[in-house]
Amino acid sequence: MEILDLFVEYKQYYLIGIKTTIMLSFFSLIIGTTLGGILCLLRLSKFRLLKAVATVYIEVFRGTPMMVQIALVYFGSYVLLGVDMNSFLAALIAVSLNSAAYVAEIIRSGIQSVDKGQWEASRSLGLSNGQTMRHIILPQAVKNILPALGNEFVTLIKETAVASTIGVLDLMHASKIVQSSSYKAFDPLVIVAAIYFSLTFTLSKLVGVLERRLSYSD
Amino acid sequence: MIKIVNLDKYYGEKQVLKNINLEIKEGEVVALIGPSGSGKSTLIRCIDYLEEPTSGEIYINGKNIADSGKDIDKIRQNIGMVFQHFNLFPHKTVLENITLAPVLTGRMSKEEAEDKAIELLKTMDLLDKKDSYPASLSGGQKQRIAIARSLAMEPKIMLFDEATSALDPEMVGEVLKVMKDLAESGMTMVVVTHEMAFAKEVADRVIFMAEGEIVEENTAVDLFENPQNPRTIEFLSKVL
Ligand SMILES: Nc1ncnc2c1ncn2[C@@H]1O[C@H](COP(=O)(O)OP(=O)(O)O)[C@@H](O)[C@H]1O
Ligand SMILES: [Mg+2]
Repeated sequence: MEILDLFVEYKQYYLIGIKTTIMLSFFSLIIGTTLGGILCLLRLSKFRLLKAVATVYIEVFRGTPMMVQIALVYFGSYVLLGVDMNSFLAALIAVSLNSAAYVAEIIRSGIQSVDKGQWEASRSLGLSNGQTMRHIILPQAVKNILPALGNEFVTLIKETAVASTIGVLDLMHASKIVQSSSYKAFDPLVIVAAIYFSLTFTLSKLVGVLERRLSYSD
Repeated sequence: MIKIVNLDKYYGEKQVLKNINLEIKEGEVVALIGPSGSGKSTLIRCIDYLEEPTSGEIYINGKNIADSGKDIDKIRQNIGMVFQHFNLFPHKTVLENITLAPVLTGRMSKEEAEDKAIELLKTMDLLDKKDSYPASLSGGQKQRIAIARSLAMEPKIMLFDEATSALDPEMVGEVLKVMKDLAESGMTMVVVTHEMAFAKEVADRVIFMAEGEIVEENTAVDLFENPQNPRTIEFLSKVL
């Protein structure tokens, strides 16, 4: 098949692209989860100012396109700071900051989905707010949070395609290279779509397994 | 032991507790009865500061709990609360449910807490369940574990909010028995209940609430045999 030949011919580009896309998504998820956890704590805190800062952050990052955020970090670092930032690093920063906003909401809804009675029982025993969070609420919230984080990973794999706009050598970028060197517009797109799909499909299945595992132990 | 002075509680515009004054002595067992929505839960939850009074004071052993600040945890350690829906920790075994608070609050070492838990489970006849998770227990078993969990903190006061209302009828008895034994052991108890026979038998004093007010209070015998207020009479005629 012609399309398969095309894939085999440009295999090394695709492999680099897959690796970059996965790395970018994975590390963004890790950093985004860390920042998202902190953001969530701020959002749920009693201090109005901290709460407001977190809320504004979350709304702004969820309310603007990732493509714009990536460009802002990449070009902004040059214009504002005079730093010529590596495009992968710029994408990593932008995607992580973006993901943090989504993850903060994932963690918050995970925490809030735990029955209010759990808080009350724990506090009535004399445990502090922090002890309750750590020993009672979070272990239960994780059941909801982990699968949602898996889905966030799936989303990131798709959305990081915009990193190619600042020259990151991701999967989408590989596809563009193949398009221009093979003089074919359509087939490379079919290939790249198939690759993205097999990545996200596999991952979704894994998330499904995880979800079932976690709900068994109820 | 518990003193409530001019307590008011509003939810938004709605006043759910109206000028509650109440004193409960050490060792006393007080039953709170009244129609649904009359504010019984709100009142009992205020005693544990799970709800914040809008105005008025609550003293526990002479300490105003509103002034306790961070010490609220210390006060709560001496007050056990049993909920209608048990609220056991589903991710912990029965033994862990009971030992968690004594260990985390520094009240007991892990060994002491486990000894205490095992002793409590023995008296409840549930020792064989110590490594089970709450999901595998019946409602009556869950509630007895929840009571054991509170007792593990060696509280001075126990609050019960409709502890048997969510149970299948055949399990009510086993929980009431535990509560009765506890009352007989001299525990100070405030019990919100719809089990009038239990209130009559076990409570030293019965308080009838309606629409956020204490309408009438008396010894169990007098309140049930000889109610004074028409609202009490009407309520009792429906439930007895
Ligand atoms: N968190 C809340 N927010 C608003 N209204 C509430 C809340 N909790 C209870 N109420 C209202 O307060 C009143 C008293 O409720 P409650 O104390 O639960 O009564 P009871 O336990 O006697 O049935 C009810 O009208 C109820 O709807
Ligand atoms: Mg109630």
